Amino acid sequence: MNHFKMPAFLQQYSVSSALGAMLFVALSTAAHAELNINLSGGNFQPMPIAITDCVNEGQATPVASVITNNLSRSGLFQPLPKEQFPERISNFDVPPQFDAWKARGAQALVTCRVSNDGGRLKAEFRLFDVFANQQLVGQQYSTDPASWRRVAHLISDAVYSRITGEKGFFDSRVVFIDESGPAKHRRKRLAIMDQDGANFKALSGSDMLVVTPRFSPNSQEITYMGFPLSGGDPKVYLLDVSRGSREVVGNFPNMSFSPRFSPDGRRIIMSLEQNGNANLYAMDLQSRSMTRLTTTAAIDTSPSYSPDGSQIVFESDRGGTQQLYLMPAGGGSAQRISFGEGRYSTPVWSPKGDYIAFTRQKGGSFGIGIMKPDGSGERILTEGFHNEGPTWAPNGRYLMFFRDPGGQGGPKLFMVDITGRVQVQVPTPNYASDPAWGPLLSETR
Amino acid sequence: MMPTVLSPRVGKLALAAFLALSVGACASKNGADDGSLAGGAGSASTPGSVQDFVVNVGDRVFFETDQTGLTAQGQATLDKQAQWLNRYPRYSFVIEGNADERGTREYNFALGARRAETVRNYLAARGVAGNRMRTISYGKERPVAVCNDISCWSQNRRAVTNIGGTPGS
Amino acid sequence: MLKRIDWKEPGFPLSIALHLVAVLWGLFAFSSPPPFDAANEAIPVEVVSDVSEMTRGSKKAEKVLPNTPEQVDKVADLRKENDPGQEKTDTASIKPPTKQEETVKDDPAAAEPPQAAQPPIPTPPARQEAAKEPPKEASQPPIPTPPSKPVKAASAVAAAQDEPDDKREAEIIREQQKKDQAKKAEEARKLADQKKAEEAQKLADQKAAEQKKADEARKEEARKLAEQKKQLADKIAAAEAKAEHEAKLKAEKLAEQRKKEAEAKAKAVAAAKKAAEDKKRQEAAEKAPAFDPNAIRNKLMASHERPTSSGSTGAQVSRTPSLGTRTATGAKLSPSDREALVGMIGDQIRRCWNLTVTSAPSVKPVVHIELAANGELVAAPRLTNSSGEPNFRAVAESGMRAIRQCSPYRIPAKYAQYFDDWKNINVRLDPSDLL
Repeated sequence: MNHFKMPAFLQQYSVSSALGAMLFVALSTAAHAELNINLSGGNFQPMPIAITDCVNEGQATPVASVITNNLSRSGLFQPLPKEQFPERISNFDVPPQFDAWKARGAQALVTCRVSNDGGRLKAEFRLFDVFANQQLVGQQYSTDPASWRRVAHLISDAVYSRITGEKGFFDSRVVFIDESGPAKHRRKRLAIMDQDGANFKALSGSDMLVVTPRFSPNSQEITYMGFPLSGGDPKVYLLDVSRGSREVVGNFPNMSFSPRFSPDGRRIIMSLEQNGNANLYAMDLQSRSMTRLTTTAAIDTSPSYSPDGSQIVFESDRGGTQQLYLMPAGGGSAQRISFGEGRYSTPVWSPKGDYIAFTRQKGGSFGIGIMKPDGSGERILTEGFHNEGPTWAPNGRYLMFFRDPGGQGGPKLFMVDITGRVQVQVPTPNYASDPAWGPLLSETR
Repeated sequence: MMPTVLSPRVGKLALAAFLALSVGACASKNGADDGSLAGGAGSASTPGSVQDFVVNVGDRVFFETDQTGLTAQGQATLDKQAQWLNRYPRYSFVIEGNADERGTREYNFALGARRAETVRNYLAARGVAGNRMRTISYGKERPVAVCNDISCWSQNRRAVTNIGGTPGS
Repeated sequence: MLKRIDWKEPGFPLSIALHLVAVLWGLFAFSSPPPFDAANEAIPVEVVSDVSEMTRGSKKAEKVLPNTPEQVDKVADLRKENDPGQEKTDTASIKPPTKQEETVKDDPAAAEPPQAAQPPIPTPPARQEAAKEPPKEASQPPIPTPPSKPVKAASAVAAAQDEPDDKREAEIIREQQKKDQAKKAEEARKLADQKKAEEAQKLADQKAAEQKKADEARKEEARKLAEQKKQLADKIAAAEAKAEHEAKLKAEKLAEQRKKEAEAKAKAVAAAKKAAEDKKRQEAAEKAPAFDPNAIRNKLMASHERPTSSGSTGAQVSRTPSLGTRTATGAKLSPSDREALVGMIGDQIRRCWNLTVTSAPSVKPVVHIELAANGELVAAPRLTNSSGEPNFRAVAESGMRAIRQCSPYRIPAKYAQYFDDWKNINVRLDPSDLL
């Protein structure tokens, strides 16, 4: 379940908002006899919400439970236990008893109905603001019955979006590395699943050890680093998910690794190793032409484009230790942006562009953090041994990463929100690492 | 590593099971080898054999945390390796760079590559022909010791001169 | 693994052979990974349509349409429940509703378009709502009802602003009406079949709203409504006349919102509406027995009346010199007391404020609330500013939820004498320090 904590940065007082508050109070005090309250910060208890079972919901399509699980895992909602429901919604078109739900502390209420519409699954839902006695949003979906989970995710996104003002992220998938076997001879294969861990599917066989997969912007392709178990250099591969075809990206004599798509999906940027150094290259997938972006006697790796494709953030030890640098997408002079204590690595630009997530190593501890693209506003969201490899939720409000306790144990996936208050494990059948969060499915076609 | 076969395809299940068994046997044998590195059956090693190299010369050197420079002990080992390799020129080999798990994955691939490159350059400087050598990095994917302790980490920060032909630890 | 190879070991050649087989077979079997059906799942879902809102039985039922960007809408809805007179003043002063006024003129049924809900305009009296809703329900339950009411209410409110005296009268009437209505509503329940009763009421409400006269009921309940109106009229002839002219009022509102007569009429109408609503609710209670929307309104109204003898709306009233009671005392809140009070109320709201955002809008929502002397909300909280930022509405709504949930507020008795100084409160919602 969720555990909530208050990171140290939350204690800080933001100057700008302080000024705004003072202005607000000053202005209003002068005016006349009105009391002006500057309410800075509420409490971080998630919002109590009731998600009632869908009318006609069968055991085969437990839509409400998927919604409940989604909203709960977001950390912003506290679903009311079913035992506390004051009424059972039996008629989807009759207004709920707002006062009764109010009395149970529910601030919002979700009702839904599923029905068979000529072989299709029809699902409808309503979201109510209980204290305002009004419906906030109501929608209906039609789908193949087998895709009932997607409907549940879409409803979850609609609820999340209406309450938080942010885009949702539930209707998305994650590609990652499914790990099994002992630590010394770990088998690592490509796998994909829904954001909540459902619909797990292995995407690669056993002929290769696979690491660091990444989705293309339309989620139809995956690029990753693969080790042929028959020997040979590790290379960057490109997998077409729908066709199942796989190819090596580029033809280089040495190791290529750390691939990632450009936001337009036309290029793959990666590291090429040569003489013990690693430099960044971008390959145009159409022309297969290669552009060298860095020329250092150092390790330049983990590149990530800004959402507009104009810049690249990457890690380099050119200054002695791993730090984060920014440079134009076409290469050129790089500027260091990480100046905190420790070593910074695996930068990933948020899809909203507002943050760069990273792994920070400091004194044997591995933290997942975010900073603004100019390097300011750094916050560490979770820390310990051994957190690594953040990836952004499609709405840019959550990060997924893996945590490996070391020893004979193995890595597991976790999700944390960008305030660091909410942290939940992402269920996987086996050990799992290197998650890469795909886009919202509803936005990919 | 041999592939472990997991195929849902009907008809190959029997073969798959058989292969899995064989791989399992292979794995356990390798595990035993890892543990007996230092001791080694010295008596069993014929001069010029792979076992001779592993046991009597030492097939690996270790590195400090996040370092790619050779220690004095490492240099001594590589001196012996160069001597041996020059005496038995029939071997071509792979230098496998590795990192411990206290680093991020991608960086560790580069770090392992650098360590392998360091060894390669050292051996080349000692007269070993460059066309006999190939390098590869396993990053932190192939630990030989597994624990949350410096005793393990130090064993994993290594470069192995593998003259056996099969990808190894 | 180590390369220590022992050719003498019997298992070794076998192992070699096996591995070779495995590799070859693996190459053959895996050279082209099988296609995954994962891709096929991509987009089998389509959004067919929005689910229409439910108009049935709840005055509050109006929902904010998904398309409406601003919270203002919600505010308007919330206010519907409040005394029209009070809210009217505030709203009118903040945002003169132009478009809304137009809607007022329109036939209530026609006015339904959801878009109406933009500006934070006070919700119209219950009657209008009731009138609108009934027809829809009768036809098809899940039809989206547009919040056209707010507009009307605004206009009515505006008219009401200028005349406190009328308001007082209206309130008195209103109270009486309430009592009568409640009784009638109960009777109605018992008497008629609930569903039939609902329909009847709705129809009745419609006519009432539209014509402002009590239509002779097609059904018994409709008649009851008419009776209520008549009774009210008897008590105050003026009020009755005004009620009859409600339609005219609406038209007038467009032209002249601030006429005194309009206010009185509006109040009368409101009372009638409330009665209608009460009945509806009670009827609706068949399905939802616990559902008692009126309670809140009644509370609000009651509290509202207390502070000023006149019982007129807060903010405007305070500004009008004619209302003697307020200004009478020279008691002023000292800065330190003010600070303490701000802290006290702020703490109470904060405890109810569950943040549902992960980022703070650059524009901080400021919500105006008006308290009664006993610490209860006199009206629904009203958002006083706006912003296009998506999280602005989220922050504002969460704050207003908290403000509603935390009412009544505990105000130490020693502050009672400074009531005028703290009855109007602006709450600036700023979660940025914590995000």
